[in-house]
Amino acid sequence: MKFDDEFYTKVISVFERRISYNPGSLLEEKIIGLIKRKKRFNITKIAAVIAIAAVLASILIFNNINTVNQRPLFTSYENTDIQNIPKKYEPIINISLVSDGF
Amino acid sequence: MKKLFLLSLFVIFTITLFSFSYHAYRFTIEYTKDRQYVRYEEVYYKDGDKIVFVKSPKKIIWVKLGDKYYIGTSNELKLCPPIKDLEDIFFEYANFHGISLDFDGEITISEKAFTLKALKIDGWIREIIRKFESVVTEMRYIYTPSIYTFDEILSKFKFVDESDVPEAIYNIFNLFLWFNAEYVDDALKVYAVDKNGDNVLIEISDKVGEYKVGDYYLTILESSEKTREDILNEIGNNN
Repeated sequence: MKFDDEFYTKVISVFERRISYNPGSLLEEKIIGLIKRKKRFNITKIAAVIAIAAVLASILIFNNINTVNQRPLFTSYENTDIQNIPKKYEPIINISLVSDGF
Repeated sequence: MKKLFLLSLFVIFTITLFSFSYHAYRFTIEYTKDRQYVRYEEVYYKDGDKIVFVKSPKKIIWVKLGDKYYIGTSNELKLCPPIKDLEDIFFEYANFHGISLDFDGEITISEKAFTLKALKIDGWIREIIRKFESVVTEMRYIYTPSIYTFDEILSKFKFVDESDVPEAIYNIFNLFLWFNAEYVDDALKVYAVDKNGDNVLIEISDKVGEYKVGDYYLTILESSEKTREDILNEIGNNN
């Protein structure tokens, strides 16, 4: 069979209809799309890593804040609302704060 | 007359020469297993007398004048029992053991319940550390010159020779190494460690309690047998 230009054009048109394949711009779009997806994936990956790092950092920071909260500096006021202490007890509380022993 | 004048000059010269005073900022940090307590204060010292401005955790002023102690939160200070800081405690135990205070370097005093360590550089105490079981109390000094003299600062205060709390209750505190107090359920709970290192818990109330002391009631919730006896002796209820 002789592949002349007319026959070749017919075959191509048949394939074109069956697989909707159109060499040229469509293929380029596919490749560009693939590259874009890869790029997007990379950006997603980087964003995920940053997000995980941020979450870890905030867990560490908040955990630290909790630790500080759990260790009140001024033990005498720990369970005491200083505003509600009657005046008559204030000297004893004050002495307990400023004295290192007897 | 001339002799008297010369003698007066000599006395003034000697007092000025051997007078010892300082102005310092002090940080006292107490570490326990799970807590830290910080106190920050400014001290004017002159020949054994002290004016201490506690700036944190609460603004309190206390003054030692000879054998008398005063405390308050304004320029009117009221009589109170002896207040001892780590410096006084170190001096007391050093004197008790006959240790000369004229030293340079580090000295450690070991007692039954605790140890005391002081570091002195160029004649100035820089650090005093007390260790009792897992509680470490550390006092650090920062010496700075002051534009005011001890007497100038002292003249700002009015001293009242009466106390808000009965002396018998104050005397109980002398039985302890130290104490901590908190106001709970209309009563003052005093958590203390006695001089043998045993825990003591007493409650001071103006409504109910085991023993009446002045206008207050006292209840001993926890103590060794000996400390209980000592407390009862102090409040005059041991028959």
